[in-house]
Amino acid sequence: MSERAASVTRVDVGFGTWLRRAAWPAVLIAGLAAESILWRNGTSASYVVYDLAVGFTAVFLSLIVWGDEPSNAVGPLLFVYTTWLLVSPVRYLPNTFWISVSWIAQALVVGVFAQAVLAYPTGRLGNRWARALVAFAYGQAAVFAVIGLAIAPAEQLFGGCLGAPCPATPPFASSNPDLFTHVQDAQNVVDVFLVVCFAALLVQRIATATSRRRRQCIAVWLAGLLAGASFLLDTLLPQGFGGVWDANDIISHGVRLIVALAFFAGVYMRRVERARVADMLVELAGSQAPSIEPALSRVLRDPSLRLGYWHADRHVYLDGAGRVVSPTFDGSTEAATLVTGNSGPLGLLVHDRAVLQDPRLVESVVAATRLALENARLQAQLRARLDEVRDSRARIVRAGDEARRSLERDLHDGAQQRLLSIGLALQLARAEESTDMSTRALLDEAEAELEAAVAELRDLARGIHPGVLTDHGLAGALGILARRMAMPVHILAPPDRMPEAIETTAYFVISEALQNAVKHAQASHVSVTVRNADHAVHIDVCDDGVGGADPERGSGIRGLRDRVESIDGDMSIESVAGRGTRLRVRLPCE
Amino acid sequence: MRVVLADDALLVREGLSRVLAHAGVDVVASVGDLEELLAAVEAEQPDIAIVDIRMPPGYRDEGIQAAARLAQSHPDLGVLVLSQYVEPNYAAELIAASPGRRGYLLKERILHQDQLLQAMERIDAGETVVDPSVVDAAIATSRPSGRLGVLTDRELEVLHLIAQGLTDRGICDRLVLSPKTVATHTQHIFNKLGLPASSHDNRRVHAVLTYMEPH
Repeated sequence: MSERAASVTRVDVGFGTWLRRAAWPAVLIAGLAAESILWRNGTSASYVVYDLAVGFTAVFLSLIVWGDEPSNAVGPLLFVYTTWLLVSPVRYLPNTFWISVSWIAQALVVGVFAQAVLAYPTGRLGNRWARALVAFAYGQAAVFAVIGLAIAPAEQLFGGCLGAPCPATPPFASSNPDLFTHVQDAQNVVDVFLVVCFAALLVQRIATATSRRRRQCIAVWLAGLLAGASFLLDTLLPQGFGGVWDANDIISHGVRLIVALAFFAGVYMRRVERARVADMLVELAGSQAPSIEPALSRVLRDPSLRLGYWHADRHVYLDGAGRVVSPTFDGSTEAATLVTGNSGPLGLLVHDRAVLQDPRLVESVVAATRLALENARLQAQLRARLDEVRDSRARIVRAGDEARRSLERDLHDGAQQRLLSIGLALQLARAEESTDMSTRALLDEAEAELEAAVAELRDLARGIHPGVLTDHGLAGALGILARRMAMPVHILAPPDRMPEAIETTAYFVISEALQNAVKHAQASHVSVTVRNADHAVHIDVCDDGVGGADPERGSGIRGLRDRVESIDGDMSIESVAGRGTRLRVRLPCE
Repeated sequence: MRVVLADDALLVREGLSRVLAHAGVDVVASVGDLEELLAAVEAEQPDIAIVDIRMPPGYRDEGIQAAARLAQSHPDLGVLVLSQYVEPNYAAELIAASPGRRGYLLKERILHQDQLLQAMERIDAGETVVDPSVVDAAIATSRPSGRLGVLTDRELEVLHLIAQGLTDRGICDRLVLSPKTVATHTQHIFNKLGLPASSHDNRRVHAVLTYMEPH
């Protein structure tokens, strides 16, 4: 499990940075100086310009690669390789020191190149075959360089000194041209062997890489194969068959540029990838947890990527389907990265090890994932709270309805029955023989009062909760409601029964709307339509009144909205002054 | 007249039973819920059951349910439903289930012995009785939109009285019209409402039902 995300923010301001900054002018001066050797010795201007252009481009690309990942060995290795190729004309100086230095550098740069390609992209060579190959490349180069310096005539080391007589003696010992020819043959055999091994390693890597790794490395690996082939050509074909503008030279320059471009392509891809993480963040903003994993997988081009969400109760990471997510640790291709938030673990990313290659990418991915997960978690919390609030509002409205119903029942079955039983008692009292006339008159009065009380009680109970709504449904209750209005009310409602909560809500909404039409809108006609369609009850109440009602004002409308929303419905009011009022309500029902 | 009383409110039941007994009505049983009512009717074979609309177990419209069930088992039994609802729907439901020998009165009518006894007698005689307040509620809106729109004001007035359960004779007295005129009006009403000319009483009941249909 890697927590490196937290540690990669280190800013590199050490020796490496200083060196890279100094490298730009140094390379410029050294390159110009080296090419001036060719120029002064009569090489065509076009060739010098070509050599400079290719050389500088390659060096500066290598500096970009180095700067992108300063702690990676690949950057400096590539810099050494390209810089040497730029300044290598020093080998033509008719001077024993420069010839010797160049001869050794020319031999060792093959090893530098092999190391750069094989260590890409991690900076480490990885398996022992690669390490052995690179060690062997350096070793044989050093051995053959020293032997060459010891026995070769100076003019044979690089095909002659340009424009001046070469030093008479070889750098170290007496010259032995015959032996040197044999040594060169032997070196050719070793070179071919080395190139074949190098190519075999690359082919094996291409074949076994994970898809993400292959994407990341294919340009460099193919450039490595190309350079190997070009090296073989250079070694096996007879030297110098066309002066400085020969085909070999042009090809090797081109290959050099291609190699530098291949390494640079890796940098470019990483930058694009980081930018894609930023895009992903934008994309994930406001999205839910399940969409994070596919987005990450897409951005990192890692189909094997899995994201586990921290499950605080079980202390494990679970994926969307509830499976435990943990790295397999069986091979070297998988790695895991922990994503922690302020309040503890958030998630676990299990991904291709190749992702770790770019610490800044990992950092961005972790940051993006953290944000997305935190966001998803907060959203989920918010949703849960909203659900809670909605449920409790629905419960409150239901409890209110229940209370109304029981109040209505109590009025009918309690108070009213008592009043009636008193009335019956009064009747019996009046029927008594002994009751005199004045008492009878009083009893009549009491009975009349009693009857009025019963009627008032009935109206009160009806307003609290119409029993007909429970027994005959919305259509029946609306018919009676309409009869009680002081103006014509046209009602169109299906006789079907609906869920109780919907009937009650619809009834009170329509009742309130009719009251408003009478009281505030001064309407002369109201039409009410109730329709059952698309798993919802649609209510439409239109009046021809004065309009201009403010839907935000008035506790009546606010109360209606609360009631409608308590069962997940919605409500809209159109009320233009002079053009009546239209109330529309949608109540979802299964 | 033999009567069974069904009301879950003990005080009302006992009071009403004493008032009826005082008026010479033979109250053969008084019970508190739907099942007891059915059992009492079976045991006593009364002429009329006076039933509260709301009773255990549901406190909804058990009285009307009882009337519908008794119509099957005891077609000659009259049922007077006492209700606290001035809603024509209940009355229409009661009459629809068993035309004839049915009454729907507001509960406070029990405080008027004469009205109660008169309704019981008419039910016993085979008529249908509906509380005037309920009929008024029905008339309030039916006019412009429903099927009753085809009737003239006079015909509506006659239908109103038919709905209250009055006979042609009673209508003559109430409106001070000749029996022939009333017969013409009723005939027009039946024709305009498209009621089949089967039995005279049946058409009267259908006319009442049409009248009470909420829109």
